[in-house]
Amino acid sequence: MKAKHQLAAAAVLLVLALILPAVIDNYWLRVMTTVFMIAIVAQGLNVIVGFAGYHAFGNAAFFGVGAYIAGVSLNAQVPLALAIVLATGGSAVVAGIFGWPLLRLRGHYFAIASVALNMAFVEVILNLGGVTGGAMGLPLPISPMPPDLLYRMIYYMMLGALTVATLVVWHLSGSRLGYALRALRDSESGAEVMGVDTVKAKILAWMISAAMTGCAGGIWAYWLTFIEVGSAFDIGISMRAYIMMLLGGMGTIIGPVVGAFVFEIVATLVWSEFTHIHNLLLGMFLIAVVILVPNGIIHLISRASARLSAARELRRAKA
Amino acid sequence: MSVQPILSVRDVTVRFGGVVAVKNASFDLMPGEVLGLIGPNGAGKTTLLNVVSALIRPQEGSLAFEGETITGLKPHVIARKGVARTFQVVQPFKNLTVMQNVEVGAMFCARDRGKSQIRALAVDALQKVGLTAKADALPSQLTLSERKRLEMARALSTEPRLLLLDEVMAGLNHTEIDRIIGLIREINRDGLSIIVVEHVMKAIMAVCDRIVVLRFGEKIADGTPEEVTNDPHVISAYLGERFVRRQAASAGAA
Ligand SMILES: Nc1ncnc2c1ncn2[C@@H]1O[C@H](COP(=O)(O)OP(=O)(O)OP(=O)(O)O)[C@@H](O)[C@H]1O
Ligand SMILES: [Mg+2]
Repeated sequence: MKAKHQLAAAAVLLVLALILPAVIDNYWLRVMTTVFMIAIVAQGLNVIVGFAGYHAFGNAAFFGVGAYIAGVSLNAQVPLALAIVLATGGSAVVAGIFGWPLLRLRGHYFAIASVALNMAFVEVILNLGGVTGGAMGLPLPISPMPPDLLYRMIYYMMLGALTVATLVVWHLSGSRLGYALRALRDSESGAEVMGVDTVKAKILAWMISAAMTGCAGGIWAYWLTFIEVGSAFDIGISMRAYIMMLLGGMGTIIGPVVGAFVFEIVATLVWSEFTHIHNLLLGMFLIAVVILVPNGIIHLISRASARLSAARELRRAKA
Repeated sequence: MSVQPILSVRDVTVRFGGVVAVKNASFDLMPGEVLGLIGPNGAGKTTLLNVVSALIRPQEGSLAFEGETITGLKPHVIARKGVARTFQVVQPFKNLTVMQNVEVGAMFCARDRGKSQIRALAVDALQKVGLTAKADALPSQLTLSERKRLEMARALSTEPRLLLLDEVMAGLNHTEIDRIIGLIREINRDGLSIIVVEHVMKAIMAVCDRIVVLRFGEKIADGTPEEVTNDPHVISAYLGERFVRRQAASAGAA
């Protein structure tokens, strides 16, 4: 699918998402807010995995970092908007600092290092205690807003962040950095001898990826009003986002969003009926995705539309 | 001796564990010159090109490009200074179109370039190598000959002053080889200095002003094509085996 078409589709989805809260109940409001949240994480993965080809399995680290930065800030009376900005920027800075050594590694070492980083952050938070709450978890200030209003506001915050993340990916796909990433994904040496500063490109990509992930984590912390390391640094967050990105189509603009929507809705409708075999179904779903739509839904749509227009040409030629 | 070399390689040694791939190699390349770098398999030709393009850092030795020491610089810095190369095993960006592949070089090697100038450079490079018609194809849709020429177009799009070609003719038929010989001559006429690594002797003889012969990482000859092909060291070390084999074969056929 061309960038233009993907953007048009995204605009339609955005309008639908804007009016949705007027017609759905609180249960579906929560489901949709979760869809947006995990779609942001999937978009973050898209930047580093889809574009650069660096498998950041441990990207949940930035979800946790964002959540804790927002949590600690909110507890220090920092206004909400600023707390989210700090979570976003702080996560990017952390990715920059660790990317400096880690992204000099090529390929698979990085995937493992990113998981190790996630584990290390958990240890740091647990041992810091004090402002982070350590093993006890961290309660956040509770908003005085009425719940209906509050949950709608959080819905729109997640939607806004997802919109910005998607616009960033769209901009990236046509930018110098986007070219650099797609080039180095296919051949790192090839990119280097053509003038691409690959280390810098990879670090920038991971910082953008971390910023998105940290932003989602920050809003999530505010939403939950209580965070602890187990759920904030849950590697399952990256894993789910990974499946969504694959399902939608990595390296595309709206693939991760479409993937997140399809995955979460299927999960909500089907798996909640079979909670005792949840993981079995999740595994089967993943296998089905890899076999049936290896390149993702967006590529599937492109192929189908290419075939349709070819058929139309043929009919016109016959007539 | 008033003209300074565009590239000086001084006492370069590269070791991979116990293997000495390049041993104390030195040579100069003069501006506008086409230098053939030949030698048996495993002689260290590719390794030497990797040293020049900074993909490998030599354990010993130094390099200068246009009089400036470039030892220890990063590959992308070397590329932006004007050194381009192709890979023996082609390395296209397989998810980018042919045009986009070539645009990368123009985009990153020349600063402050607008989109239209980048496109113009890429169009120019594709036209030179005869791939204009394939601009929208993916590398996987190209023939081997076209892939080799894509490598060349990608290198040319960086607007280099020194071009390193690593076996761009390997696996091609005579017509395709002649086409690349013509291309190398044309690029050289445009003012590029070129190092050609090649096993196709006919091509080496056709395009090179000078030839350096490597064997087990050591330079064993450096001179004009005539000098080198008449050098007894070279004949025994490199051409020798082939001559002997070929002569034995033709004697057998007769
Ligand atoms: N990355 C590497 N790690 C270990 N050994 C290497 C590496 N690259 C090259 N070598 C070894 O260094 C020596 C020189 O290899 P090189 O590829 O430079 O030869 P070449 O002259 O290009 O040969 P060919 O004509 O087959 O391309 C060989 O013995 C090779 O096995
Ligand atoms: Mg070689």
